[in-house]
Amino acid sequence: MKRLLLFSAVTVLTSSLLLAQRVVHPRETREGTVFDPAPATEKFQPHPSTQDPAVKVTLADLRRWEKELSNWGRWGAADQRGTLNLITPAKSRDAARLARDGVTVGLQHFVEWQPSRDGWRMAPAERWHTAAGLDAWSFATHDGTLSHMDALCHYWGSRASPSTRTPGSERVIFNGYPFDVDAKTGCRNLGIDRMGNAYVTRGALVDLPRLRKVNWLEPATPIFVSDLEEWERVANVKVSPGDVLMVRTGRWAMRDAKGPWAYDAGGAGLHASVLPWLHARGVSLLVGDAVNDVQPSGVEGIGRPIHQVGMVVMGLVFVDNGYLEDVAREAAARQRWEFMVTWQTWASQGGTASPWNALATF
Amino acid sequence: MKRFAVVLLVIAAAVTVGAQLQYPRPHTRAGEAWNPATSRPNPVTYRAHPRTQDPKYKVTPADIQRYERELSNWGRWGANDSRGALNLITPARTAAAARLVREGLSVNLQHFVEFFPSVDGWRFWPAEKWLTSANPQTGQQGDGAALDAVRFSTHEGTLSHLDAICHYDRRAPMLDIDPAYRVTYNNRRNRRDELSCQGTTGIPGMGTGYVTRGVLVDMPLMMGVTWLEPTTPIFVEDLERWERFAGITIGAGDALLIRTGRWAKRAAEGPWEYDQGGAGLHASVLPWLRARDVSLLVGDAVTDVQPSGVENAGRPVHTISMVAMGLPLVDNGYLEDAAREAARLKRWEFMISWQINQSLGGTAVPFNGVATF
Repeated sequence: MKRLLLFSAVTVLTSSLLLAQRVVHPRETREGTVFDPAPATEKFQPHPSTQDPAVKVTLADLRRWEKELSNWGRWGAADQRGTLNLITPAKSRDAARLARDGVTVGLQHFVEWQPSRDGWRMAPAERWHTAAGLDAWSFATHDGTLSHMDALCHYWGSRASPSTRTPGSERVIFNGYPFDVDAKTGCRNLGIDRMGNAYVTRGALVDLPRLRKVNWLEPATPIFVSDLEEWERVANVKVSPGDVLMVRTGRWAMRDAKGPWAYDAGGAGLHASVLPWLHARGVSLLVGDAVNDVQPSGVEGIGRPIHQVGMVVMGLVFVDNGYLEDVAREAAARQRWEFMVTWQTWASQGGTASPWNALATF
Repeated sequence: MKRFAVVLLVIAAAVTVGAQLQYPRPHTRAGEAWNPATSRPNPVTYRAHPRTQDPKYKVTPADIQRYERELSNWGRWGANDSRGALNLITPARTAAAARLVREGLSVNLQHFVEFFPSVDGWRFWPAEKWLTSANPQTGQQGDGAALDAVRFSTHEGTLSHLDAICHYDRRAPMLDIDPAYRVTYNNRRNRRDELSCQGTTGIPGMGTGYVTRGVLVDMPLMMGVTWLEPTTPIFVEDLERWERFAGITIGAGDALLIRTGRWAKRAAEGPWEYDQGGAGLHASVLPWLRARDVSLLVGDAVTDVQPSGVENAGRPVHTISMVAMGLPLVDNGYLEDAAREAARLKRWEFMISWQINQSLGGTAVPFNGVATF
């Protein structure tokens, strides 16, 4: 009898332990424990060309652009869409005329369900089965492996100087809204659900590796206005108001060939000196295949000046980590770097970003 | 006696643990167990609509078996095909759809997950959103940029979602002796566990996205009501009457959007068990869907009328569409804005585009659909 009781007790104890493991196992990831991403081990230096006096940008330039490039009030005091306002019905209609071949490619790299050097920075990305044939997802909307559109509430600046983020200062976002983020309900203004969630417009792809006859731009390579205008001549496309401007650096091609790296510490991208040009051309959405800003920025005192001035001052909407490999292939095959782009974003209440659910159609 | 009790206890413990081991229990991020509310305190019991039993429409289990053979698209696009009816969206049809864009006006076709519980949501897992840029203790945003993360079930009742074609399956033939396996579209084997819908049978096998013609069937508009009452079946004669009303013939490669007014009713009267009692297509439309060669079927509830009115088949439209025809389904599509614009323009055809999140593995993705007039 005693033996049986002991056996029973041991079985129950073992079972409980197994059960406890089942509950504890996801605790590292799904239960809210902070995931500790590996810090970048590589050290990247700003590209020397960013220090050339002809292009060099300083904090004083950014401060000047606070006024010169401002779109505050341009579409009304209550506006929540920023440069997406440049996508007019006429612009959408004209874009649809570009879908002549009827060939569609995806523009999104979706979040990877396993950790990597360039993913899982803010939260682990997981997919699991909740029952037979049913699954659930959990991931950070700004994940490094996810093509995502930033909400305009993502970046804040100081009221006195929106191109800077002074700790302890009064915080503002685009159009002068206060930076007001609630842990439960998210952004009170300029959240991803307030910016319109369905658009059709023209896409213009700038394929820099193709222009330079390389597979990808090396990390830290800056892109200047002269590069963009050289591409315009080669591709015979002029970037115009309401366009989605897609700037390919070849980040995904390099990742495929050599594996992920700390692309957000060392990545090719636009140099801050392009900001007035982006404003003048009326770009509605800026899509990069890495972080858009060249990293390091080469502007002393600020890590991502294009994000900072673009979002807070200009209301320019950004897509980071856009997947531009397939569209680059189709564009090159046709020698046509303009096409129709359609996208939908998730109306996540007060969200700071959404996966960029976009297609290019030739 | 005691020995017997002990053995019973051991068995009970083993069964309890076994059940827990298969799938994690739903819980919030804080670790609280979540019991999906399947009904309200005084749930309504829905009965199949009497018209579904009218001999003119009635579908029997024998009919369903016949549909499995007669409506099959297995092998139609090759033995290795995983796109099913999406193959009907050819470049010519995409280019033609783009020519429907006249006003340049786009609307969203997605209702996104609600981050609070409701009678028609949180069925499988709590849906949560949190700031990763905030201090976890105080909830205060830090000095950097605002960042968030989301967690939700892909088949969430408040989420417009595209089912993977492999989401539905049927029993494998007798010759297939492994009970873990079942059969999906194009005779592909599928497991009903963590391995279900892996590889090319899953979401990525369906392609990255599509542009084609969308045709909206606005049933409440035609019937002169604000919404169809729960359990109202939609028959072929309704769809063809709509075609005459709207001056459109539904054809090959079309995305067919059927509005029952679920979201209008929800906005006016609150959520209900729309998956127990909901208006939708009756199984007798299946041969018609196959004959018209629809490429995507979008409902604003569960697409199938609920209850189905077909004996031993809860969702026959789901089963036959996905398994036999390879026709992908969207449940909970948000058709209110598209219906408003279509009625204003008196034009129920438009360009529709949807991008498919390339989730590796998985049985559904949010339906990222856009209608452009």
